[in-house]
Amino acid sequence: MTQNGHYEGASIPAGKLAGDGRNILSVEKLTIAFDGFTVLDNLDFSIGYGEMRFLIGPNGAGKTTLLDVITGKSKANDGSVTFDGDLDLSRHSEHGVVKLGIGRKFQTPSVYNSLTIFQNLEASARFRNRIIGLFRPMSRAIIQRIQETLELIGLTDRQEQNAGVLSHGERQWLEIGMLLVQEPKLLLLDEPVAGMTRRERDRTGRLLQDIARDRSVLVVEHDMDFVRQFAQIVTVLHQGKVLSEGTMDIVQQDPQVVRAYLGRSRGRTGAATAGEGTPPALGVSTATTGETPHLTGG
Amino acid sequence: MVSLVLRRFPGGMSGHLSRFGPPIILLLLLLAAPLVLSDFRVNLLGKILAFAILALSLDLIWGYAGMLSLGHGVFFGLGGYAFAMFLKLEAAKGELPDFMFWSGLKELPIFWAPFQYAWFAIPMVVILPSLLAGALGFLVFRSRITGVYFALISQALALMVSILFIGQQPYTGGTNGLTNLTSVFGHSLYSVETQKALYYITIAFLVGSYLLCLGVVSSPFGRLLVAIRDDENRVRFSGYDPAIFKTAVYALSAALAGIGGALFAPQVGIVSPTMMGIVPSIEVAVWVAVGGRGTLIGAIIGAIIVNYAKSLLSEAFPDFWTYFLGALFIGAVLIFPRGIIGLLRREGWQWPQWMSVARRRLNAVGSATASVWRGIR
Repeated sequence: MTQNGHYEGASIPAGKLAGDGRNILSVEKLTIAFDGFTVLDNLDFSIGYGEMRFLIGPNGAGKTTLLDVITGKSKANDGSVTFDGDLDLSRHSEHGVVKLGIGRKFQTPSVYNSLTIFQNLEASARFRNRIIGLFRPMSRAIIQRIQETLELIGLTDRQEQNAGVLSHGERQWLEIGMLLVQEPKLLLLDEPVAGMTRRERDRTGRLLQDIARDRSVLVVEHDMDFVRQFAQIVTVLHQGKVLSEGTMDIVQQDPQVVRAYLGRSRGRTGAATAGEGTPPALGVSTATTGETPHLTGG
Repeated sequence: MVSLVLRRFPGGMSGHLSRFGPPIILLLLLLAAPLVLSDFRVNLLGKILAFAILALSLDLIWGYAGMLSLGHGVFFGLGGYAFAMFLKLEAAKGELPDFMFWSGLKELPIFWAPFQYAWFAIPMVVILPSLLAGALGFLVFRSRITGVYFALISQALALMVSILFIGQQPYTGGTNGLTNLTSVFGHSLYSVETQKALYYITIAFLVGSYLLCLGVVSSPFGRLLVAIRDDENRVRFSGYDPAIFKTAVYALSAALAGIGGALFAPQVGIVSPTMMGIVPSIEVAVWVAVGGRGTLIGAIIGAIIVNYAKSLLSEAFPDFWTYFLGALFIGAVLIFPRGIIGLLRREGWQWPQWMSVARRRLNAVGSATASVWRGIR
């Protein structure tokens, strides 16, 4: 992460709007229901160019479903998702959406275990090749990009090893690298620090800040300490709607947010939510989602 | 014996030897085989090498892309029929083939006529199987049918096509298939020279198919096939359409299987629907599993060993050789799940290591069996 010289010149601070106020992604009146159960309910949501946005919310709030709709995995019943000006994402297939410039990391790290780390990145980097092109050697530009990505995710020395031997945290980084090498305009990360040690978490946070200098990033996260530490703007999703949006401090004070988290926690853990004030409430939700509560942080 | 020879080489070469050693040794052995084997055995080996091409084609999709086809006999059969139709018309010498006459046909059906020309029949050996595989694959893979469901559909294909061929007696020869193939390009199929020539031609096609498959799997395209096997969803969300990759490699595999079938037909002098049925299709998977899937050369070695053993055992123990075959398969899967080549690549040419792997696997199998047994009681 130290040698990524070309990122230094970027002037957009992580988590801030690019300045012109336009949105790279606009979700309007999005509704989707499964078996009569409304998961996203008339949802309006947008991310600006160059912004790093955190999306939080209790389990079942619709966070992953929102990513599914953006990436073409699920079709919405109503509403629209517009990308990069005027592209209607519902008209594109899953692989088509990727070609437009949207990369997605899944909740559980998904890498190709039988391929080497380098080959994992290669398999991702050549996504614009036609089948015939996949029988030709790589262009220098792509090799260069893979090497830069290896530096960024700190796996240069291990590029010849099989991805199967990587630790959980390293697999997460590799998958992020597989997205970066495609140079997406918008990166969707579903719980990038789940299951990571504290050190890995901090490193991932810095990696995300690096990444966000060049592109827009949407992070879905349950780990409240992590969100507190690295998020500037947070959107709280609850029952398929945006409940609150703003800095972490503002969101934490929002009575609606407190109620949403408390209501859930009480149902699950009973007396565990007896604490007063808002931050503990969010802390409790961290515990109920199965993440390891961190002793220190934000 | 091979292992003794190889151990004389300095240890540093063993990595390369375990990769390139088996193919080269095997090729030399096959080329020399007619010098030591009887004509009958050479012909038998020639048929087995045609099967080896079939095994290779299955390994390409099963071992690399993770698609287990239990109906690959169909493509082998289609290639066989395409070439046998040409041979049948050659044998009929301008008259109506015998089985059509017996079935009451008065003249050659329209779709048979072009098969009298080699320039039509020979391309059909690869075109027919790959068209069928391409069409089926496109529908199946686009609907995201994978794993065991794909295996079942491919098996149903084997059943369907073999029943279709049995039912269309006047056009396909029914249960008997196309029999009494007598010559190929004027050379009698009963002569030893022709059979030897066919043997060497089969070796040439086997080597060509092997190199083609090697080229495919070591290209970026091949690595994407492995990626699809490891995590198809990640491939899809990396901007590729897995269905196109799978359809393409399925069609390529079917074409190779067709070539195998076309080489098989003149060496046996007959093609019949039985070779397209369910049992032969499953046997192919056994060869690949025994040899070691995902290795290419393993498929060839598996096909040769299992078929040669099958032939020797069926001569020595006509009543219960199938039990040996079953034991071989179960033994290979339980004790050496990576197959022969998988074991070689991991452990090298070291008997003690092989024995310790076998002992470990047997212990694991033993304790698993014991716990299941306790559960039953």
